[in-house]
Amino acid sequence: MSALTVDPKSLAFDSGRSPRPEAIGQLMERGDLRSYENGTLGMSGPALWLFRYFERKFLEMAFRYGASERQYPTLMPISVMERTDYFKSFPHHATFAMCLDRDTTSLRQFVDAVKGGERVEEGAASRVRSAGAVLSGAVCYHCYAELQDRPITGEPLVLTTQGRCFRYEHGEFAPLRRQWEFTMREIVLLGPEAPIASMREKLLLEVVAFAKAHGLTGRIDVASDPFFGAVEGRARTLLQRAQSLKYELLVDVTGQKGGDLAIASFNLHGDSFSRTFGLSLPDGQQASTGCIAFGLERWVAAFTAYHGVDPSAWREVIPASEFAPTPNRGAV
Amino acid sequence: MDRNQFEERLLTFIRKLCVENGITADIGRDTALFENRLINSMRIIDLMGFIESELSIEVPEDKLTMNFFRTPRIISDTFCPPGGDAKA
Repeated sequence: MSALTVDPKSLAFDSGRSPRPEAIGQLMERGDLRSYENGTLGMSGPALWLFRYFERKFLEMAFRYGASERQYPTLMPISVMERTDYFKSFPHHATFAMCLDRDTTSLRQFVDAVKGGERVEEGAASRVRSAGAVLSGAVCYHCYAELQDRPITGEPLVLTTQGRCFRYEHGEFAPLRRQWEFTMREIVLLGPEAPIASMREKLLLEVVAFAKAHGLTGRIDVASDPFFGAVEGRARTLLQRAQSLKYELLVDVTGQKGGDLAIASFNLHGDSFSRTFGLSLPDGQQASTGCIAFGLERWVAAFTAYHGVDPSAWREVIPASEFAPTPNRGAV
Repeated sequence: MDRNQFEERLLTFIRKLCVENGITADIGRDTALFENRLINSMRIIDLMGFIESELSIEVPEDKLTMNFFRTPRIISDTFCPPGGDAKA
């Protein structure tokens, strides 16, 4: 079993503060957040400063665990992703890269149609084709693909990467909290099963301490991914929960029912990615993998829910040394 | 199908599944299926498919926890309780 050695319920923490759900609206009124209402947003001023702060802190955390840093493309070849269960498990999230047919006649017809007043989407509908790529749904897939068929050394091997991820939630978007496009930092673990489970637990405890030190109210709970329905989806949900393969750090950001926001997840994958990508240990056994994932925008949402949108109030929990240069208001 | 019939069929299925996957284990009605790694990512889909097709049910989301799947006895009590009709 993969359960934590401590009772997850014992890890709950309470800041004594009530969350202020109006914080996101205030950031938008000030211009520090710009929601484009299609599940994407822009940031500037203090909101962006906070985002960069959490970027730094999570990268520092990864380095403390010996992580080797990576940067990967946002586009992932479909030929790689279709080897995983991604399209069977999360078809509802997939965002494909498409392009117009390169045939000159077809392009000319498209241009003429648009010049003639036809909407771009209508003009493109019959002329697009797959570009053979999908926008990353998570960043850790890139790590497994990079290490394909190589023996994994290290107890465990630790990589870290941050990237833009895309999960199309079919219109059910909420600024900072549920976005089509968002930023994920992952600490990816590869190696023998026991050291990975042990490091996952150490990182989970460190992230809980970090969230507590930043004045949030939260708890750890067993979780499951939003697998697509039918028998396979239900089976995978059961297995994840039964084997404690996934935990989430949940923070209440509204003070109302349904206000929990998962701002980090702690995942064990067993050998499912190892079998797909030929990741083996030096003795020839299948490696195991795991990952710790941070949703950067969600940390901004959680932090401002408890500390408001005025950076002077943030100094209560963020050391003064982190505040150079002084954050400015969003300005053109 | 009554509860005891289902439990027998479930045990037969799980034993066959294990044999097919090279697992030698004594499977009884109180055998812990997940703690003993008898059910893994490969076999869980077969198990779920068996339960749902045998009982013509779709397991609801709130029952997708180990509390309801820990042993063959618990699965049978949950989804085909005494008194007969399968329940989801």
